Amino acid sequence: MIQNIQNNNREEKQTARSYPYWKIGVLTILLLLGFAALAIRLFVVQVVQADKYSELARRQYEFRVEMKPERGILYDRTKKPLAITIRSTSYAADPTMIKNPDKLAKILSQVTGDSVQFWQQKLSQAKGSFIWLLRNGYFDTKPLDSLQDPGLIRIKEPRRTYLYGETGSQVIGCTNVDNKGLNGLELSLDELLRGTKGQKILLRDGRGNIRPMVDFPTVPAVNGNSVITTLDLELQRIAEYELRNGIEESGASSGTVVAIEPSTGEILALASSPSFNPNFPEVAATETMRLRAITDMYEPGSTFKLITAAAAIEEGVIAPQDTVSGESGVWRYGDVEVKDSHPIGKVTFSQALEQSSNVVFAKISQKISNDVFYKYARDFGYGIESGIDITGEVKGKLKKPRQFDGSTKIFMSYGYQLAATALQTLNAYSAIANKGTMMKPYLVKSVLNDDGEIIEHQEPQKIRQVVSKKTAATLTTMLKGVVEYGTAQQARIPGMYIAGKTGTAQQLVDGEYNRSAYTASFVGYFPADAPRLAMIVMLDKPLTNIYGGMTAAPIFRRIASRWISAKRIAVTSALAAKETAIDSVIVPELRGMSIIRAKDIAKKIGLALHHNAEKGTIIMQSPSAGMLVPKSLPIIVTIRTKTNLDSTKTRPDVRGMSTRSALSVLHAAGHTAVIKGTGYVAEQRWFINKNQCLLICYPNR
Amino acid sequence: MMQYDSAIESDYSSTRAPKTAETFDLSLFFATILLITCGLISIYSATYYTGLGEFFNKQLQYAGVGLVCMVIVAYLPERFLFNLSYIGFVIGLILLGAVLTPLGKEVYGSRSWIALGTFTFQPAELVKFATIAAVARYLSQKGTDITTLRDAGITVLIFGLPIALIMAQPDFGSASVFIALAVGMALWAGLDIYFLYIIVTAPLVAVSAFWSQSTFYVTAAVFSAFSLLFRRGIIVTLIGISVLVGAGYSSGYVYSIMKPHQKARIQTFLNPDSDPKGRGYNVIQSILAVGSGGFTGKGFLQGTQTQLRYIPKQWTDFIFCVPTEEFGFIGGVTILFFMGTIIYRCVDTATTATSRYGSLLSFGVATMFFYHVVVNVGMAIGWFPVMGIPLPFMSAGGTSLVINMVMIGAVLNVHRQKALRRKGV
Repeated sequence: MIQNIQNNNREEKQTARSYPYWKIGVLTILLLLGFAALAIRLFVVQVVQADKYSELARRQYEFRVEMKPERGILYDRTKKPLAITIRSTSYAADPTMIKNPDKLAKILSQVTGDSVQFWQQKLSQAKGSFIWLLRNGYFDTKPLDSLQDPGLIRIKEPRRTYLYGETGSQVIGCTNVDNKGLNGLELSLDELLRGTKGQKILLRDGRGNIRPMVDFPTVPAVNGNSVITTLDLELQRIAEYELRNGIEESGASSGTVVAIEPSTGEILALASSPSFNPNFPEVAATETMRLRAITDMYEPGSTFKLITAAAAIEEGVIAPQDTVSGESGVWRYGDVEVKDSHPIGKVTFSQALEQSSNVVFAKISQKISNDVFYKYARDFGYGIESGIDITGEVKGKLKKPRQFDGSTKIFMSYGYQLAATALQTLNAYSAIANKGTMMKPYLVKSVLNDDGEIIEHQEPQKIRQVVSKKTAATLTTMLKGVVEYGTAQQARIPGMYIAGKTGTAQQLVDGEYNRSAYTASFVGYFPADAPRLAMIVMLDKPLTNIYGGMTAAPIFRRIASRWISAKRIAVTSALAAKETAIDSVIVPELRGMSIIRAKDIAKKIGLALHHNAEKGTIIMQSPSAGMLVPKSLPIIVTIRTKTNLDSTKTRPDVRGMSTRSALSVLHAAGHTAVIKGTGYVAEQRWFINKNQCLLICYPNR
Repeated sequence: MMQYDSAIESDYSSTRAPKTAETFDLSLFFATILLITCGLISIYSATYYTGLGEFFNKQLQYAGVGLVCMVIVAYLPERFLFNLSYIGFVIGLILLGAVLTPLGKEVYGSRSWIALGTFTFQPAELVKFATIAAVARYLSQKGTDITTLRDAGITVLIFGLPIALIMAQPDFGSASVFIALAVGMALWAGLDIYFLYIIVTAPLVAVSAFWSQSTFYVTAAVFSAFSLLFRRGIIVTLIGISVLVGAGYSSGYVYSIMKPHQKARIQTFLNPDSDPKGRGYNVIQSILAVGSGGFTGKGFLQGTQTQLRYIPKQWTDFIFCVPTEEFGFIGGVTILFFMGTIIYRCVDTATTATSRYGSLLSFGVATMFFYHVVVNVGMAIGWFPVMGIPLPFMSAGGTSLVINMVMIGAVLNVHRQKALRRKGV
């Protein structure tokens, strides 16, 4: 063994440089190449590409925490808060850190009512290390609060709360979960309200932990400004309540109410129905979010007669007491035929307005030049934005004089062939209420900073003088008559003169005027002699009664009287006393009767009867049955005569009549009818180019 | 040289003992000490915010132990190491085997550790040195010739035993070190350069086979064609070509028997961005650390990647990221310079050694360090797959540090013997 080891121990000796030079040379080159390659690579990574890698590393370790500002408060005109910001807890999860996902899913399903599987799936399918669980804070999160799980993240977030729910929802608007304004004032004032985000930079380590770092500056959040609006919360609530009731009663598909202070242009109420709850915008239908008063345009119909009247009086074409002829309801001009639903004969211009005679206004418009007529429409604010300080306003449609054809002015004179928003129409009336001076409508009264100091204040702005004070006063008197004696008697309030005008406009559906789609409106202001409030009520497609005087005017009256009593506005005692004397009667149904019998009835209740013939059956009447009219007002009835023999031009409206009476009226007017159902006529549709109509009847009126 | 010698003789008596400066390789010694210092600084920084300060303390203690061992080994008598070589090798193999018994401890899926109470150590580190010494001894014995089939076979056997035991742990990284050692030492001992060519190109063909069938065909064809330039005999050439082709075909099989985490590492190496949060994470984080360091670095204890713990276990395999991030390109090049100095001194000692044993030993040590540096640094900068090769003298790890210092001691010893013999002492 020892010997063996000793043998093994025999080592070859060698002398220096026993290795060939080439071998050492190759070796040296290999060594140099190896180190040079590493050094060059280091140089490329650390010097050439250093910026790229630094940026990537920074993105990885820098953790920016947004410091959310508090959104400013929206107040009503009396500084009642409408929209405020509260701090609420939102819940998120880090799916990689959740210890017990099944338990968390179970608790979440308890809180939200979603299934356990839904939450399990959401947690298991989540990518990354952050998902939102609950952000809106509507739920009772007590079970979550007691849960101890490292993967559950609680974040205090500012959340918008609307104290009065649906009240003013469209005008106030709403915000998304990130507190960004989506619509209404929240959107148009977003820049003012939202404030400035702050930022804190923290460090995130390789395990996802966040560490503070003093080296980085913290930028504090700046809270948003608050805004005092011109809205009157009380009026807004009254308006919405009455509008909703009115819509329900009339079966309208939607409606809007706008109220304005004529002397300043401050908007006191801006109601649209149906409405939504801005606290839950995600479940609201988009159409309920529309601020219809500024986004929807309609052909105004008869409310536009104010502008025709203003132009005619201001230009000296006519005076209120001048006699005009209603041509018994039909007037032809070239190819154009203008008809009144309630034909009148010779009356004063005031009366023509009271009865809303299309014929009279069409005739008067012919005495005004296209340019002048256009100028008045334009001055009254049609076809241009009112300038209201909220987004979404449309400017409507108004033809330029060069676009007028032969009939344009005729149709425009009673509110067709142009389109306007409810606000535009109201602002025109408000200008008359304000002695001819149009004010810019506005919603923002003042802007307050975080400390509650006023930093901006909006003063009322005059837009222009649309008519002289005198003309404005004349028009007010005429409009008073409309409410006192005319189509808008439903708007009357005991002890208070109201100036106003009804509008009933057929809607263009697919390019044709539709006999079952109407816009019913009433716009007015009061007290007529020193107006405090101008208001428009507009209903879209009322079903029970199409007339603005019957549907919109009562809503106006209810809102106005509640507001008057709320604001304690004095009512004239003389006027109130006068009101008690019975001087009005309800118009009886005269259609279908012989003229002799109708004369008898009219005599008995003390009404004058204007008729176009001495013999025959009455096929039309104005005012229609059921209206409360002053005794001084004549009832105009139409009988089929040789002069209006062309039955296609005389199409009596028999809605609301019993089937039997309807048939006799139609027969007298030279028509036949197809009847569906029994009882009372609910709907009437004319066949094109035929003397025949379809009557749809229901047993109850 | 002669003049210098006589000048000394004129100053001192001819019987004097040579001065330390003449026999002791100071540059190798100081490069080692400086590199260990760099390592200590890096470990200190890497564990600064983690509350793992014991890594630094342990490393400092082991550096002390290693320093003592290194100096002792450097001054051992001439044939001491030579005589110990086989015994050391056998002990090493026994310890490697013990790893697989209940004495062994499994860490990260490999049984690489022996645990005796609180004392743990990695036999593979010891066996690296023992194998170098054993092979050096065998090939330096009178009558052995690496070019003969018998001696080549025995050399392969000496390397094969530790490789087999380490693969059983399994630890492919450490096993690959032995393959690199086998190549380096066999060539230094006189193996035909043709085999070097085959040995270097065969893994390239194998790797290319991972990519696709066509890259495999192309690389195999190109390397085979180049092998003809060596103008060896027909049989040798054919053997070489069949090794190349075989390597390509067998890579699929090797891949199939790999463990999933090893397969994943290869996938990550081929495409680190495919899974940035998972398998490619280390590679991406490492290169972010190195790259974001820039030219001068972010400053001591200021490295964001290092201090925010983006690189797991960065005090071991990814220690190179720390100095490169905190001291930048300057820091990285400094470390490469110290490392290069050490390797250069080892190679120089190997070329000038007066004993064949000392020459082979020094060359083996140089080969091992070179392989470790290239693979470890290459891994940190995205060139090599993550394979558990520590950076010598820097990565935290007691066994590795002490054994590496002992190896430097051995090279210092060889240098000393040479210097003494030149002096004729």
